[in-house]
Parts: sequence; structure tokens; C-alpha cells
Amino acid sequence: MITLTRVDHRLLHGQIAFSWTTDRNANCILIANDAVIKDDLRKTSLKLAKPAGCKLVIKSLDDSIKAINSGVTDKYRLLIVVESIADAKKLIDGCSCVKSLNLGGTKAASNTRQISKAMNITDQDAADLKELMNRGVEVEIRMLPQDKKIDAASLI
Amino acid sequence: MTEIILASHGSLSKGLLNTLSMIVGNPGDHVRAYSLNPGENPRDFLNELELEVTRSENQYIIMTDIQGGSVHTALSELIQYPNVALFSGMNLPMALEVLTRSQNGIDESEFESLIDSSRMGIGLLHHTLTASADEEF
Repeated sequence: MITLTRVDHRLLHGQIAFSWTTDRNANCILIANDAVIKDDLRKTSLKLAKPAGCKLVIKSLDDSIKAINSGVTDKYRLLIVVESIADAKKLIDGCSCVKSLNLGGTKAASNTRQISKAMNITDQDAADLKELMNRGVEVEIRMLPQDKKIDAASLI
Repeated sequence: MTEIILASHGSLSKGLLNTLSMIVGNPGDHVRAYSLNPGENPRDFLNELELEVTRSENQYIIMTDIQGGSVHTALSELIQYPNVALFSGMNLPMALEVLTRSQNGIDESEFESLIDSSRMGIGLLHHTLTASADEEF
């Protein structure tokens, strides 16, 4: 089952990896990302962040959607990480079983506005999130599991 | 309830607790750090802790900086009490494991695997190492 779907521009890093996998009792992490699959150096550093006892699978967005829909991930307590809200939207468009999205962090850029300490979104991001929320997907902002859940609806 | 004590010469223990808190949030009152400062006597802490340990039904997991060091040596007198376990060479992986498992108390049979986890946390990355194989579902 999918225990968490998270947007984090850093994908997987120590503190986050450990806290969330422990909190969700996850035994498998899926990094759904088109750029990383071709980047050996980045893959190596991501694998370092993998907690012991947890599998780490890295797949393109399309292959991730296929895998989830095929049922092959059902036997895991799965934690999915994507890099951006755009990727999250694509993933959720393809996998209707994702009912909740955690926003962890996205980088600031010239066309973004800051909606919380670590979240910076473009207008397109806001539109994507609104559409997801209209579909009944819970969108919440939280860096670590023990932080207070902030409903994104109030901030967009 | 498991009481967790990090004990070291100087501030390693306090530093480790600080780092631990960054990762798992405030661990709560049952995790304490003890620092032996120059001029202080570790037996003072030993005596304090002994009083507590003998009056409590809680499990006490103590992690120290180094075997053979005066902190570890002083506290090693506590292992006569069945509710105490003393680990040395504490590192962050060890502290995380202990904290995670302490929710339900740690059985003696788990102590070895706890040490294994701490050891596995020590690794090497070097530019000559080749990328490992990718995992699949």
C-alpha cells in the first residue's frame, strides 16, 4: 500500500528518509523521476540515504505509474517521492489510488511565491494543486512527520 | 518504559542528543545526556544513577563514548542490575536504533542486532567505488 506520496526537490535525504520511513513503517521507497534514472552520480547519493531494511527503487514517472497500477507495489508499505508538483500531478493523474499528497519542499525561483517555510510554488503549481484538491486528494504541507499538518487549501 | 542515557567525556553526548532531536523530533524526558567535564568525577553520576536504577522497574539503556574510558568504566558497575544494559562506542545509528526500538522496551535477544545496526552505519564512499545495482520491485 502507498503510505506516503511526497514532493521534495531534494528527493531523498537522510533526515527525511529516516523520519518518514520510520513513521510510516515503510519498507520500500519509490523515487519517481525522469532525470535521476540517467544520472548515476545522483543515484549513488540517493542510495546512501536509504535506511537499512528498506528497498529503494528508482523509476521514470511513466514506469512508476505502470508499476503502481500493475499491483506489483501492493505488497510493500510504499513511500513515493517526486521532485515537483508537476510530477506529482502526472503521477496522481495516472494513479487514482493516491489520495493524499505531502508537500515537503520545493525551490524558490523567479516565478515562484513562497507559501510556507520550504514550499515555493508557481501559478501552474497552484492550479495543479487546486485541481487535485477538487478531485478529493488531500494536500498537506509538512517537512517531518512530527510537524503540524498544514492544509494547503488555506495557503494557495 | 525505557530510560535512555547518553554519557560521554565532554559534550559528545549532548551533541548526539541534539542531532537525534533534529532527526526524530524531541525524544522526550526519557532520553538524557550526561557530560563528564574536566575536574568532575564520573562516580558522582554513577551514584546518582545507581539510586535511580535500583528504585525503578524501568529498563535503562546507557550508551557511552568509549569502552575503557572513565565514563564507561564508572557506569559499568551498573550492569549488576538486571534492568541495565551498557553500550559503548555510541554513534548516531545506534542512538536511532535504541530510540526506535525503545517504544516497546528492548529484549536482551535484540541487543546483538542492535550492535550490528550500529556497525552497519559505518560506511565508506570513495570515487573508485562502482555504482551498485539498481533494485526492482
